[in-house]
Amino acid sequence: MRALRLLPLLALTGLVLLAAPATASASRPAPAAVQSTEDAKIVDFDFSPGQLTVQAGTTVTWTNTGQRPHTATDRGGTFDTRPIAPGASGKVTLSTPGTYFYFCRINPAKMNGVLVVEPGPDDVRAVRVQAVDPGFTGDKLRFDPDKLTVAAGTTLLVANVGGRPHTLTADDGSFDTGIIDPGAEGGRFAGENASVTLNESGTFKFHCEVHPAAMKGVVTVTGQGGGAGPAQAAAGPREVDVGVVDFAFEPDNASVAAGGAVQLANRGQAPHTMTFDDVDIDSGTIDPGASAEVTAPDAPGSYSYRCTVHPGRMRGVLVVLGRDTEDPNAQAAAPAPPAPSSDGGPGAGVSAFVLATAVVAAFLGGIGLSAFALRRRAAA
Amino acid sequence: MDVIELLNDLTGGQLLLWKALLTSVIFACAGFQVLLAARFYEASTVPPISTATAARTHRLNGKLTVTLAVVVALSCLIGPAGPTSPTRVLLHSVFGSLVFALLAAKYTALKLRPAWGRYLPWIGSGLFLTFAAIWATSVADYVTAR
Repeated sequence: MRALRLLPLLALTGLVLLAAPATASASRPAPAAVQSTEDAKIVDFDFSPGQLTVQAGTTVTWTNTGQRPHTATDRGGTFDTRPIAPGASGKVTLSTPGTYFYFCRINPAKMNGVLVVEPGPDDVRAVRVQAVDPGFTGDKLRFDPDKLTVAAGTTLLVANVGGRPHTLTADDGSFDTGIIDPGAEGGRFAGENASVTLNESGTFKFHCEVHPAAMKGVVTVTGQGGGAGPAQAAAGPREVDVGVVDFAFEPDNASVAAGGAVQLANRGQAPHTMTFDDVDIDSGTIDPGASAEVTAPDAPGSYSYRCTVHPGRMRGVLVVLGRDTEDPNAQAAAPAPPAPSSDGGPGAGVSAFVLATAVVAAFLGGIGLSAFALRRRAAA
Repeated sequence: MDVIELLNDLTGGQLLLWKALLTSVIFACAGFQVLLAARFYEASTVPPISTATAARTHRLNGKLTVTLAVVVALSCLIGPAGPTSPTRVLLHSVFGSLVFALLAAKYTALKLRPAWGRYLPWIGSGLFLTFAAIWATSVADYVTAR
């Protein structure tokens, strides 16, 4: 009988153990692999394979096999699949050779991968150089690659994938990207990129003006140049409307300029909030029919948010656009991800289980109550 | 990390789903409790077990039920699902509080006031019906609120 007294404790322990696999499996790393496939998978919370090598011009398709939305986003800010719903896919065509550190901007601490894009059969008009630092990847200060040979007229696309500002500056001053800002919060979000076009042939040593001792490299330019332009700048809207309904944000992916206004209108029957996960921004409770406004963060990046009243069901991502970042939500040509298989609520299996359990409960309890009632009547 | 985030992580972002499942299990356990009580009070011959076994099972099942109820109630207090209707929340809160008031009355009758023992079937029946009301004001709303 003493063992029975411990039952509540045992039950509580069992409950915790029952729930634990969700997080235990989440932290399991995916095995790295080098292959020339175009397909990759996203699981909760990793990319599989963790490293992928493709030729320039390849379209990589990520299929989300997990239970939560994820993105595949370049740490250097050149591509972003936008949130991929469970069961849906996102595609990116990679045309610039180089190494790409990418991550999920909704789970930036847990989900990181590497894409290596090798030159394809076509002429190389642009080459990617990554500015790496210990910031968020734990790497050392370096350019990746630090030695390269390109044809004259080639554009160097310099991507800051770290947590500190960098430049790519010729020792003789013949080219300079200027300061390339890192991702928000020390590299937790995607950094920025800049480009320089090398039209003159010769060998040029380069360095980072911010870390001149540690970050050095050399580029050899061959032949005569033609010239390719720098990346186009993009500006975001100063204001964006986000509707709040029971139980979703509409849209759940919106873009706004840094420091812009997010207008919220609660069109549902329940109170909701817009509360950001990583920055201290909170709309407070918005009653049904009421409106609210929050100011977007000043630092470019992707910021996930939730409704604290319905955190399991209501989530979204706000993209704060920087000076030179493209709006990932403005890709009109991008295929819309297919709708998830369910409407976000409990599946038919769950509904059937809880209803069946209730019927069993009512049946058992009904027999017991009837027995008591009949005995009382007999006694009377 | 706050507690509600921890609970969401533990349940893979499906906290409400887990609460709905556990509440249904608690409701079923409560029904079984009444049936077992009817057996060891010899008001019923179902299930076909001895009254001593029924009493032992009743105590074991009761401990499990109370433990699960405390877990769900705590998660409700820390991270409420939010009102889909204010009346539902009001009724759910009243019934949720009533369950623990009835449990307190039951333990008082068992441990401190043996003379109140004659009220135990009433208290037990009230507990079952209150669990039914809690289920109706939470899980039923969860599976139908689309």
